[in-house]
Amino acid sequence: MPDWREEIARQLASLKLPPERELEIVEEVAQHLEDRYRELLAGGTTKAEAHRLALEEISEEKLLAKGLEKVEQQVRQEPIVPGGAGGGNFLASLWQDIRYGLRMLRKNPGFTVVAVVTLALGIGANTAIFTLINAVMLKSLPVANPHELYRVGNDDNCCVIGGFQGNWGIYSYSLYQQFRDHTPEFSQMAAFQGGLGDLSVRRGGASHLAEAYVGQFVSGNYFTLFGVSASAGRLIAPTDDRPGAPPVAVMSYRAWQEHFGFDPSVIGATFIINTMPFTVAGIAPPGFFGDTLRPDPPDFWLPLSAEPTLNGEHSLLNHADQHWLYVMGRLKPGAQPASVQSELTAELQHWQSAQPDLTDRNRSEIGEQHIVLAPGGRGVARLEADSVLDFRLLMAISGLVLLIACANIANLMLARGAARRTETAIRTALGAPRRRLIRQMLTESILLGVLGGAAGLIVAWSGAQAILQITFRGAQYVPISTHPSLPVLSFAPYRHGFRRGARLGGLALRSCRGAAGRRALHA
Amino acid sequence: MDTRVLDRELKKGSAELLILSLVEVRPRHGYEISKLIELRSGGAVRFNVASLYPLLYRLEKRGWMQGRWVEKAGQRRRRYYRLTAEGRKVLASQRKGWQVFAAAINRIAGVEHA
Repeated sequence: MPDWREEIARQLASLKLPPERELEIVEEVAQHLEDRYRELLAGGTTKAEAHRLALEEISEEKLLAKGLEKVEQQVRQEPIVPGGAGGGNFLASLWQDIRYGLRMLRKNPGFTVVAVVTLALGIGANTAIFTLINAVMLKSLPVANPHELYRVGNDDNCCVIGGFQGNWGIYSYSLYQQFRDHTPEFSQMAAFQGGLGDLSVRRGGASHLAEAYVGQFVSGNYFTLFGVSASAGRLIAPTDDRPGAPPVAVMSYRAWQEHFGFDPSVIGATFIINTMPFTVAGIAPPGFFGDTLRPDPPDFWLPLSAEPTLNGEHSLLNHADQHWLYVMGRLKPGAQPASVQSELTAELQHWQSAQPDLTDRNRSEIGEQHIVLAPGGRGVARLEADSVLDFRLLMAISGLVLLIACANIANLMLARGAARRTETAIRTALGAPRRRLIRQMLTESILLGVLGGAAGLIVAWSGAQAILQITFRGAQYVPISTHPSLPVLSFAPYRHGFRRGARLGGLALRSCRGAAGRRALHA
Repeated sequence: MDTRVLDRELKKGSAELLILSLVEVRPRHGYEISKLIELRSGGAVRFNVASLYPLLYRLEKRGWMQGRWVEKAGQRRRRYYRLTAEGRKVLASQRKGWQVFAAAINRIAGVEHA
């Protein structure tokens, strides 16, 4: 009897199996060859021919070792699906999944359209509202280190107030000077007009009629406080905010773009503002809309010192009892907002005590006057306060839309999963591994999510525009970008895709129980 | 696709089902399994050593079959494979899946050639 063991052991040598395991395999395979040899001999084959034929079973060099390698090293080989591409190349199989997913979506246009439209509405409405919420409630002013900014007061009093306020938020120029000069914890403290004013403006020497613009009086260190730089020319400086200083103005980037077509000769040109000549010192940076996110922000910023000249007998600057300025400052590193707040309240009460013509009632109420120091990185929160109710309502509605969309999509996917039960069963029976089935379904869901997200982009953009138009009726311009917030948008389709894909995968696999056997999937 | 390639792929796709079916009735050793496959398929399907034993060991590792050395009087010891409870469930489901697949293929092929 030929000895097969040596040949078998030689072929297994490269596997470096534990000796006892190698012996077992050698013995078993040798018996197989021996059985074959005996059978051939019994059939009348010569010894030499039987030996040759038995050896043919393992004649292909390395085939046995290659087959055993995967099993013995416990690397599970994916069962091969007839007609499939196998599982060797991840990218190739992923591309196959994508193509297959697209084909399945194209094959069911009704399902695809309904699912994409539903997703577009759900994702679009939510992205629109989150984009606006992000812009109005979460985003900081486009200034340097916004977290260092604090507003003196948190009340939305506007725009000219006489008398006591209780919780103070708006101040006279005299009171601003008091704070500015006696609160060393602030590296900068600026004042600016609370309510914007309409200006009548025409370029010096121009023959056309004056146009209406929006203006705001600001202290000389207004732009320094925010740490912004001019996009052309220069910004208002403290030297411009002194009595007798040559009157200058700063134009907004938007006004320069839309009304003057980026004409560089605007810088240094004389403009007649409310009949008074002003030199445009420079252009504010693009995207800078001032201290407050609001519809129709300022087109021109003018120094506070120009206010008496422009407003004449209605001037407020030198009336200590007329409060019309918001105050914002930049706290020095290490300063404690709570102690600064107490200090400001003390300064306020001290200043009030020194005012002449106070009634007895006023004096008795001085102790109740106080200031809250509020974070100012998001600016004066007037728009937020005005629109927060609307946005909350919209958020609730868009949340409902999303829920309805999710329910619809879930139903669609469940119906689709049930309809594809046979397909899944066949693929399982042919050896498609569990992870491949799940990946395929995830891929289809993600494709659907991406398509829905793309359509949602259009819905989000137009939805945000519509919401702004409804919320700010009559406004010519609202400094809020309606471009969907990318982080929110990019998150949405994948979130939907994964969630639904996992659900569909679960359904399909459960549905295999009857058709192809759940247990096979656990292999 | 080349017919030989299709044959090979089909064989690989159905090999587990064939082996599990053969050890369902009683435990069998490797050579017996290979002979039965060859006989019952009329020689159409045949596994050589290099393809059969890796498959047997894989099914054993998955817990669908259990191999055991058995010594009988006057014979060499042999390794017999028997179906486990887990393997029985897998076999049932694979069998049903194959029936669905085969019926689907038949329907398609039947229409094509009608």
